[in-house]
Parts: sequence; C-alpha cells; structure tokens
Amino acid sequence: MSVTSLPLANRRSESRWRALAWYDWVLAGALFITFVAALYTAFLWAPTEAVQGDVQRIFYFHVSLAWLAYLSFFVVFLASLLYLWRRADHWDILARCSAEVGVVFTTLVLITGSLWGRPIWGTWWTWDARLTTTLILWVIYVVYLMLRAYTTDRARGARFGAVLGIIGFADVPIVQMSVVWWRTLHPQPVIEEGGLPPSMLVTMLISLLAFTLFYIVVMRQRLRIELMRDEIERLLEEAEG
Amino acid sequence: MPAQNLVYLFAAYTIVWVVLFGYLLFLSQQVGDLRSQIEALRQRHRDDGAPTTPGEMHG
Repeated sequence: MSVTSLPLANRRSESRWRALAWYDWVLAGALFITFVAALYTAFLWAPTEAVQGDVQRIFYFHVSLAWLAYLSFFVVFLASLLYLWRRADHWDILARCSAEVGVVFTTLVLITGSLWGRPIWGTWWTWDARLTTTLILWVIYVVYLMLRAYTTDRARGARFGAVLGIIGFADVPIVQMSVVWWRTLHPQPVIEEGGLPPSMLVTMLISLLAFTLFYIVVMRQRLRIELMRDEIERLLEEAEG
Repeated sequence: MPAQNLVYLFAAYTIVWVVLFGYLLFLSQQVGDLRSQIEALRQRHRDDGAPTTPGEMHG
C-alpha cells in the first residue's frame, strides 16, 4: 500500500518505521565501502606481523568487535539510567535493542578470540582473566535478554532490565583492565599505548569505522521492528476494544 | 607461519561475515513479516469500518 492512501495519523505512525529512507541507502552504501576498505587494508595493505604471521590479521576484526560490544553495552547502561529517571518507554526499547546487538558482537569476540588463540597459544580456551571476564559479560547480557523475553509484565521487565543493564555494565571496565590487573595470556593493550605501526593503526581504525556503521544500520532495523510491534499491539487493542 | 594457520584466519573472517549478515537478514525478514501483519490488521479494520488510529478515534 502506498503511504499517500493512508489517513494522516496513520501516515505519521507509519513514517516512524516505514521502508528505507534516503539516509538508510547512504548508510548502506557507506557500510559497503568501509567493509570493502576494511577487508582490503586488513588482508592486502597492512604488513604481516613478524612473530604470529598472517593469523594476526584476525586482530583487526576481533578488536573492533570488542570495542563495539563495549559501545553497545554503554548504550544499554545510559538508556537504562534514563529509563529509570524518566520512565519513558523509548529508553527501554533502545536499551533492549542495544543489548541484543551487543550480545551478537560479544559472541563474535569470543569466537574470533578462540580461533586466534588456537594457533598462537595452542588452546581454544583458557580460564585467563580477559577471557573469563568477557565470558561473564556475555552471560550477563544473555540473562538480560532472557529476563526481557520471559517477563510478562512489560513495565516490571523494563525496571528489572534497567537495573541489570546498569549493574552489568560494571563488568566492561573490569574486562578492559583485566590484562593490567592480572597476569594473563592475553596481550596487553597495544593501541592505547601507541604500540601499533601507523599502517596497522589505520587498518584498525577503518575496521572500527565499518563496524560502527554496521551497529548504526542494525540498530535502526532493530528499532524499526520495535515500533512495528507497538503498532500491531495498538491495532489489536483497538480490535478487541 | 605454518600454512595451516591460514585456516583459522579464514574461519574467523567467514564466521564474522556469516553471523553479521545472517543477523541483518533475520532482522529484515522480521520487518517484512511485521509489515504484512500490520497491513492485514489495517485491512481488517477497514473492512469492519473501525477506526485504525487513535487520531481517527478521537478526531
């Protein structure tokens, strides 16, 4: 159905989630270009690391995914605080969507880390401080999503979710600092210490940009789904009423 | 570096691509399904002659 055939209020409601706008296409184009650039620089432009060899190229995606996971959970933290303060549903929706995306990123961090660890450390997994705290982070937000999925009272679920979203974020600085606070197999921070050669740093930044755009694109889709669910709920209520 | 280590590099990048674009595809399918549901509900409202928006109900 075309938007113009709808009544005015319907059009306003649909405009919040309707088919892709021009900036969505700009975002999709930018995402495609940056991902191609990220792959090109990671595989063909960045130099091969002297000790680890080509397998070190996992680093560019692995670290970008980890940073985006931190960003996702920071958005959950911030949106949860704002929800408890303002009690506005859109903050809760934002937190829930960002938690889901953060769990996807953290899952990939754990998988890529394991695939990197096998040839370098000789093991898929070890109960090292960085790995363990990252696994705990993943569990916290999986529990968050389960809590949201199984709580039937929406307001109550939002309140509990917000509290967990705030407390759970405490693990993010612990994950980040774990390699400094404890002796671990995991390498120390090299980017913050300025230990990366410029070509590797540029490759890393392009990869980070690509994943940041991916986060924005996915969040827009995820929020659109929530708005559509709200619309269905409203239409069903009207049908019953 | 032993050549077999390239398998890990290939596996890592493949898994990242499959998961990320699989997730994006899953979300797009959900948008499509929800859009169909909304259209069906609106059609039902129109057939019943019921208002489809709060604006119509109160205005």
